[in-house]
Amino acid sequence: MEFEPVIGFEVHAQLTTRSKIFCSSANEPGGPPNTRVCPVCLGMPGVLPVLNERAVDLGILVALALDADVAGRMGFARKNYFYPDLPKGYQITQFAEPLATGGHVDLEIDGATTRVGIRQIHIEEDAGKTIHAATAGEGASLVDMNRCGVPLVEIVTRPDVRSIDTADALLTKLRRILVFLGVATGRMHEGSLRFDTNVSLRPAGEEALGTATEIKNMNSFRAVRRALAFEIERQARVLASGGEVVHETLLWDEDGDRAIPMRSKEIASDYRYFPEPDLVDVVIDRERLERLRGAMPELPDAMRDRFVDEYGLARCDADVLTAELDTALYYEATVRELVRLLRPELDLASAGRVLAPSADVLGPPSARVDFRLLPLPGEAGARGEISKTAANWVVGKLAAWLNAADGIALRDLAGAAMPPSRLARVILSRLDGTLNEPAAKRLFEAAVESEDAIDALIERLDLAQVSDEGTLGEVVGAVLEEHPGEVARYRSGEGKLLGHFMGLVMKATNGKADPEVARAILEASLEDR
Amino acid sequence: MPVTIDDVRHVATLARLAFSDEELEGFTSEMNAILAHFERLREIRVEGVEPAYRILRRTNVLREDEIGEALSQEDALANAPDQDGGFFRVPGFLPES
Repeated sequence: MEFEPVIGFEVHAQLTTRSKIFCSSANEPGGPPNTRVCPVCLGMPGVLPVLNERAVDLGILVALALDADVAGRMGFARKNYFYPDLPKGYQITQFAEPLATGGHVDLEIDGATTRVGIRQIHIEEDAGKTIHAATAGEGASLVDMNRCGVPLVEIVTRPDVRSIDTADALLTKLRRILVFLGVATGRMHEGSLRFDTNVSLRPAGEEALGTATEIKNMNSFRAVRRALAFEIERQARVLASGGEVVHETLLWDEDGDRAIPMRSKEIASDYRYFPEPDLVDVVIDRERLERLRGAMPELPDAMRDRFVDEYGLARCDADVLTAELDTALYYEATVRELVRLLRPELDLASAGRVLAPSADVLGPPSARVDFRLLPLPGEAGARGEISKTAANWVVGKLAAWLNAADGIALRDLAGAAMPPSRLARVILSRLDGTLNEPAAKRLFEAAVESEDAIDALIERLDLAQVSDEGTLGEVVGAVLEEHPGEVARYRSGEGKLLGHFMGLVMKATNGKADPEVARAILEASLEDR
Repeated sequence: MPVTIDDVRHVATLARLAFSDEELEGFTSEMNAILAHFERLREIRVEGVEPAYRILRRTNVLREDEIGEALSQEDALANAPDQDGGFFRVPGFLPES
């Protein structure tokens, strides 16, 4: 029998506030254990939580970006359960009065648009971290409360997902939206994004839902894919053999590549939610909403469309450049630097967003100058050449270098060996004809490794292109003289030998010959003889 | 709807509390007496009154997103029955069986 999976998600993202949600302890990943804690997040008796306003604002930004209905009034609730990483014995979350309800995410998959509904968006506190390491000793666990009280936004989707690929597209899109908004880092290896999923199967074509299971504890897209594949196959086996799926909660075991049922003892299926008496309601008025709407950064789809319009890029290049916010910011900075090099007299200080370690998304939106409106030298085509060449470098050589240098983030590279201004100088040496393509590639590789100025590198590595017709004419003459046999074969119709001659000319000039000039001279000389 | 002894046992389990049958029966009748008392609230007319989750009229008690003073690791762990390398050390529990 064919089964159709019905999948929904709970996405938890750590918010990029400076301090925790209910106290002023620092919200930063890592650090020595139990050093970013205070009596409030440690759950000591007699303390009172006070809500961080920015956590509310960041949650509202998420709701606005997902087209959800922001509540006029929201409140918090206690979710009661016992776990060693939860010192108070309850988590402060939202239940009956969430920040927002409704909303949706539109996904473009194979040219078609799939809409996934959002049920609810709320904010809550994260729990501490437990380590079940052998170093803890037999029968012991270690607890670090640094993460306890870190603000989370939880996005609960409707069970609108019908395939693993759609699930992947949904989570990828949600992550991008959160990162573009500046409300989350999206750094999955730090556990800043975590997923729970509900999955059930039903015979293809049927409406009625099957019994769902919940899988918890996934913190990568890969883990979600593996967990869904595992659980869909398991449920299909159970149903195909005439059995019934039991409603239960499973824990994804990354190392074992399997989902393990949690013991019923560990699941307080009855959380006894009740209104949090230590916190008052929050009224979200029109003024706050308008202020946040005004501060809303550009979202991924809008930025991609703008890259196509403004820079004249192909849709696929715009997709790659805007897949990650850092890449998009780096690209725009590179174009800006190129323009600066070409037109030093222009004031570009306010053009585009700046690649800063922590962009303040709630600050006033920065004014930017449309690339199309910049007074650039040359013909209309020259403008497109600048933006497209820069795009090719960022998605091409730069991306390839980062891939090879596994583990170096673009942000780190931009802050050190290859800021956009340096890449712009490399690109310019190609654009203005100083270097040919292979030499520009060598220059880039040298520029990443060295701190020398670009001009100094070009000189030291002797990379400058030879375009002089007289010099190249002599080289071509010598090459043809040394290879009379091939010349004869070319003349008798073996046109493909031209490439061979080009190779010889390049070799003779240490790769520096201007290929266009060299080719023209070669063709003319071969006709002459 | 009166509370049954099974309800009390369930809540006790969730709260990790152990009681004898005798105690459970005692709590059951006490809770039912309290609930009966609250039943009187049903007599109040609430037409036109907005539902409220809490009694305070104040709203929007918010703080600026600023980092304050943290406890030292030593202070944070001062009351811990057991510690290890800066961590709280707790009786072992593994989420999976």
